Amino acid sequence: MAGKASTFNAFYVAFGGEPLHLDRYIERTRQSRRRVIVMDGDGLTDATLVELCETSAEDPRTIVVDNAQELKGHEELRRYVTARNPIDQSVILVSIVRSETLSDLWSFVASKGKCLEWKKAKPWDKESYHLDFIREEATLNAVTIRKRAVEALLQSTGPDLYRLANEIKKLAIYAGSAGEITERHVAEIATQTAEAEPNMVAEAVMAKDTERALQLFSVLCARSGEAQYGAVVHQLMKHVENTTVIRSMFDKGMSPASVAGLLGQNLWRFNNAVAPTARKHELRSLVRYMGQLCKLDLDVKSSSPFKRTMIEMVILSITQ
Amino acid sequence: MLSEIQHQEAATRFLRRVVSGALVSPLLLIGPSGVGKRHSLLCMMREVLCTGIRASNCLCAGCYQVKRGLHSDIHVLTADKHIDVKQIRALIVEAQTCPSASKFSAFIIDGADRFTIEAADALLKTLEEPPTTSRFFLLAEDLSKVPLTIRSRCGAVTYRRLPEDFILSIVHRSEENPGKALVYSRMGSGSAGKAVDYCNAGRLALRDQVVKALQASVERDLWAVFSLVDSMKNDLELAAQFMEQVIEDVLVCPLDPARATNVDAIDSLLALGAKVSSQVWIRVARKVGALRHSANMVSLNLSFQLKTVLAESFV
Repeated sequence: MAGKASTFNAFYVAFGGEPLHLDRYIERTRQSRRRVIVMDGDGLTDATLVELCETSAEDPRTIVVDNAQELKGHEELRRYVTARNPIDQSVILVSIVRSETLSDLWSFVASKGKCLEWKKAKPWDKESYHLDFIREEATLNAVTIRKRAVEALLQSTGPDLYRLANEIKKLAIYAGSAGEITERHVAEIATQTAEAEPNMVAEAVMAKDTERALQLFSVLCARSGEAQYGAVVHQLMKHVENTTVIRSMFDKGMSPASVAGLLGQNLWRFNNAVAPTARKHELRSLVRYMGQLCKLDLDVKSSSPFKRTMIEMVILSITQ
Repeated sequence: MLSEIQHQEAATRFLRRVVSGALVSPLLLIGPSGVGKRHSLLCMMREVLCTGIRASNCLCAGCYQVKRGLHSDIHVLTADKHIDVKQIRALIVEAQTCPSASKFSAFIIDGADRFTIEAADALLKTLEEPPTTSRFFLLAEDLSKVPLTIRSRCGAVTYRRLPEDFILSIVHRSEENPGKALVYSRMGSGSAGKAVDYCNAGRLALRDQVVKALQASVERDLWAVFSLVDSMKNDLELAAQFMEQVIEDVLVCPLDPARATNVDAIDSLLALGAKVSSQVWIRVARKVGALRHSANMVSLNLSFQLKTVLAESFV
């Protein structure tokens, strides 16, 4: 009788830029039936780790090394990984590398076992990545969530996965027997922790999303006061300038593919984020905005007491 | 020697009086950069310190040290942006010491139009009653930016713009091509120093970019305009100055091409003039001029401002 192929792995390497997923992976590992020893890689040497792995013990155990990227030395660990008997199931080594890429040592260890990666969302897939995460979290908490509630939650809480997970837990309890999270629930109890950066304000302005642009600008003002006015104007200038170039190319009949190629942008992102924004504006209006921003630049650098109002006026002028 | 100084007779007359000891009060030398303000002061100091044949090719110790900028009785204070109070205080302390070789020490402050308020205030008393062995010479390009209090305590000496043929003869030493030499000498607008600087730095390349940017603006190719402006990012102030000159040429060329500064690009200039009405060009020139004026006072995003001027005027 042919034996079933073994799926046992002695080495697991988990890495990526999303701490929530890595922490959850450690939690899942802790819940296994084996004895689990969790160690911090900071201050640990590979010789100590190998010693711990080689110590004979009767019960099978899993050794988790968190912050494995901080581990000192590599010779001993390489030797151990190379010489390890593949059918020996007594010790499983789980390494948690908290970085976006793997060093040579951990790539080598991963090549001898299993590698798990949790990438941090890239700027262009940020939105869909987080929307999917919110839906999955809601399912985990045995509730459903409306589409508009998903968007509202992302807007109010921001892209931090830990915060989103906590908010969904809270909202699931609040929704209770209804079993569905609505935008009303989000408005009532979700904490406003969204981060606001000058470029986010500019993006919202160019997307003609007045409410979001003003909300982000207000958060920014509350957090940094006048210090960020210059940065907001600079970002607005940058975005208006880019949009003007793209719009002028479209007006000349160039295809999105050729415009994206000329600007050196990812075509998928260009089609989904940049081009729709450019199509919301007309070339003449964009040139007018440029003039307004030049004036605003001067005003913001002057000693005027109404700088915030002036910026808000320009935001309104562009978004409406 | 002061006899070497050409086309600045009035200024030379004043400096001769300083050499003879008939004039001890501070002097404010006004004129564009590169017309010989600092050079004439050094010539004056050679006149004072020379112990040799008293000619331009004199190799005595005094002349040598002045030529090399090594003489301990000549103190030059200059700054890229502002002259601040710390620099002035240090200079005042030095002014109290006796000269080592000559009958007086010369204190040359290049940038009287760039004093901070505190610096100007700190200098006043010394200008009113200078130490007997110190002579102060303040250099400025723009009289309107020299604090009134400073102006009132100095005798003003105006330096004239230099004639074109004189600048051309200087530029010819570093540029053999007569066409290019003529353009550089005209670009200097009466300043030999600027013309030579432009020539040594090969500024015709920047001028060509400016012409291209204007051509792209006329064709409403904003991508090209913005890219060209971005490529000039380190020389935007100069690019704005060249833009004004080029537009002036666009307006002058149809009437009298020989008067244009950019005589090597007449065809491009005529083509630009034919595509857009002179009213539009006058408007652009005014906007660019206003922009340069504002940029002198506030730190602007000059790149964006220039792009806006071009986009607004032609789109």
